[in-house]
Amino acid sequence: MFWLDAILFASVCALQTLHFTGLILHEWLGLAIVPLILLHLLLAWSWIAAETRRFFTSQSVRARINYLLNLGLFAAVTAPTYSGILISQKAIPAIMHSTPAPYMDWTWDRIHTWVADIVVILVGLHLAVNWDWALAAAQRIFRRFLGRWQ
Amino acid sequence: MKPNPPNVLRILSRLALLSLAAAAFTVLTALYARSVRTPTPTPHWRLHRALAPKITGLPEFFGEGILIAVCTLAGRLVFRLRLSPAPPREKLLSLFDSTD
Repeated sequence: MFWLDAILFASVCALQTLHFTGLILHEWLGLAIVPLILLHLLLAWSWIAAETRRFFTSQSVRARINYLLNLGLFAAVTAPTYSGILISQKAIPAIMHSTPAPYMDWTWDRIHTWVADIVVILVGLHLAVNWDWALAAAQRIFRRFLGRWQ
Repeated sequence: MKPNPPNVLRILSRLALLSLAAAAFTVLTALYARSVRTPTPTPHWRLHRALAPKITGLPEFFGEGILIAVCTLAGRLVFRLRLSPAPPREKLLSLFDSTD
């Protein structure tokens, strides 16, 4: 789970830097991140199911905010994914064996960019919520690595 | 090793649920996109997007990491985001209490 999250973190950073990855890698990485996100959600399913059930009943404000934050992140991730598919110039035409559209939908491009910026903020807040877990997992891996080294 | 059929079914049903939720958010995004009008840029705007990766963009990659870290820090310190309430000691620290 830790490595999956680390890969997701690095992928989000890479997807935000089109200048660094270039358009081709950006599009393929954008598609590759989808199954990783699904896997991340499947691994956290017990939390999702429990918190969804509890959302309308006995939950603290903190738990509700956490839940809405995660839901918001999921919603925000779907927008750049969908818009990315719509404006794809390389990956989707390659998969579909079609030629890319002669013009790119500027509205979708704008939505793609600004929702991706929101995703970055929400990823930061998502990490803040799960910081204790992430830190503990990182320490555990670091100790295991040191143990092997010594 | 043979996969356990009920588990596969469970995973598939969860994936279907996630897909359904994603589809709902996609519809909302599409509705929003239809409602906004964006002026079309010049035909040359696409030329600014390089196809191949450029190593000169590496600092931007780390910059994004730092930006996420800043958001995380803000979430921890300003919004006090965490899975469970902070222990009393951490609360004191976050309030910059000098008695510690």
